[in-house]
Amino acid sequence: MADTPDQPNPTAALPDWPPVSLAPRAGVERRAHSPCIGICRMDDDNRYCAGCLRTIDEIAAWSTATEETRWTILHAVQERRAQFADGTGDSSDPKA
Amino acid sequence: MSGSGAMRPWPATMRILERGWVSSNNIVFLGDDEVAVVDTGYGRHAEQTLALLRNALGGRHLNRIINTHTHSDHIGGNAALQRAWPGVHITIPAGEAEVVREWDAQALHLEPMGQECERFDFEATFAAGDTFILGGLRWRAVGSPGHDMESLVLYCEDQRILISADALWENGFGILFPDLTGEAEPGTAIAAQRATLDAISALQVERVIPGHGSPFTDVRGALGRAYSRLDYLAADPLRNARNAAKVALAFVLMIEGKVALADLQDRLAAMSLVTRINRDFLHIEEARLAGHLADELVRSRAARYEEGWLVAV
Repeated sequence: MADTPDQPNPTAALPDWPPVSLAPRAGVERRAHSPCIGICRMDDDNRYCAGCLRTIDEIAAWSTATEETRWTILHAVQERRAQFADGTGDSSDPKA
Repeated sequence: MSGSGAMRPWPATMRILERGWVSSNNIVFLGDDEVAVVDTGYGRHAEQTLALLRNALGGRHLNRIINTHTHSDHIGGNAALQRAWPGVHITIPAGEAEVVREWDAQALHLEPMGQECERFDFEATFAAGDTFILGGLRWRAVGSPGHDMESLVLYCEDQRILISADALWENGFGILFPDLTGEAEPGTAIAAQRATLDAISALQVERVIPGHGSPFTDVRGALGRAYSRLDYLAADPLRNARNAAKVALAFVLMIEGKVALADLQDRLAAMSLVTRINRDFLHIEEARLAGHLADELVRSRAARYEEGWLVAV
C-alpha cells in the first residue's frame, strides 16, 4: 500500500527507531501507529496521558481497536495537542 | 495483512494493554477463578499500569503475575501491583530465580543500563514445558533464549496465539544482550536467538502478542524479517554492540524526555554496559562517546538538539 499525504500520521517519523528493527517501514503500509512516547503518566487532572494525550480508555482500547478507531483517536490527540499548544486546553508539560 | 482491524476477535477472557517502547505490553486474563497479568511494564510507569489494569479488571482482584523475563520494562510494575492487590502471586522463569532473590542489579541489567526497578518477592517459578490455565485457555511455556537467556514465551495451541515477549516482534526482536554483557561466550545469544526463531517457526502460530508493539497476524513475514535481522547482526558483532549502546541512551532519554548535553558523558559513564561495549567493540575516545551516540540518535530521528539539551522526539 503506497503512502498518501491526505492522512498524516503524527507519529510516522521514526525511520530508524524505536529499536531500529522495529520501525514501521516507510511507504510499505499506512497504519495508525501508537502515539506512545514513553512518558506514560497521567496529567495533573488525571484526564490525559501527559505523553500521548490519550485517556485511559483510549490507551486500553488501542491494541484491539480497528484501524478506523485508531485514526479517530489519533485525530483527537492531534486536536488536544493543538488546544494545549495555543493555551485553550490545559496539561502538564510532558518534557518538564 | 498485519492491521489489527482484520483480526478475528480475541478470546473474551483476554485483554491486551498495548504500551510503548519503554514499558512492555501487559496481557490480562479474566478467568472464572483467577485473574492474571503477564508482564507489568516499567517501574516509573507503574501508576498508569495500575490505572489500565483497574480499567481492564472491572473491580476484580488480581491474583497472579507472570513475568516472561526479568528486565525492568517487564517486571517494573510487580511491586506496585503487589501493594494494590495484596496476596497477588508472582511467577518468574526458573532461570531468573537466583538473580531476583539476590536482587543482583548487574544481572538484572539495572546498573549496567542506568535503569531502576522496585524490588519484589516472588512465590513460584516456571520452566519450558510447564502449562498454565489463563483465562480458561491452556498456555505452554516455550524456552526463548537470545535477548535474555532465561526468557520464556507462552503459546496457546488451541487458539494458536503466542505471547512472544522480546523474542519476536513484528519487525525484529530485543537487543541480544548476553553477547555484550560478558555473561556468555560471544555469539551465544545469536545462536540462541536462531534456535528460538526455529522453535517458534515449528509452532502453528497464527497471532502474536509481542512484548512491545501491536499484536500481529503476519507471523511468517515477522519470522522472515527476524531471520534477516539476525543474519545482519551475525555478520558483524559491532552491529549488535552499536545498537545496544544507542538503545541504552535512548531508553534514558525516553524516560526523562530530555537530558542536558553537559550531563551526557556522566550519564553514559554511569551505565557500565555502555562503558563495556565501548571498551570491547566501539573503541571511541571516552570524551567523544556521548557526542557520538547523541549524533546517532539525532540522525535516526529518535532525538533532536535543543539549546543545550538532547530531547526525545
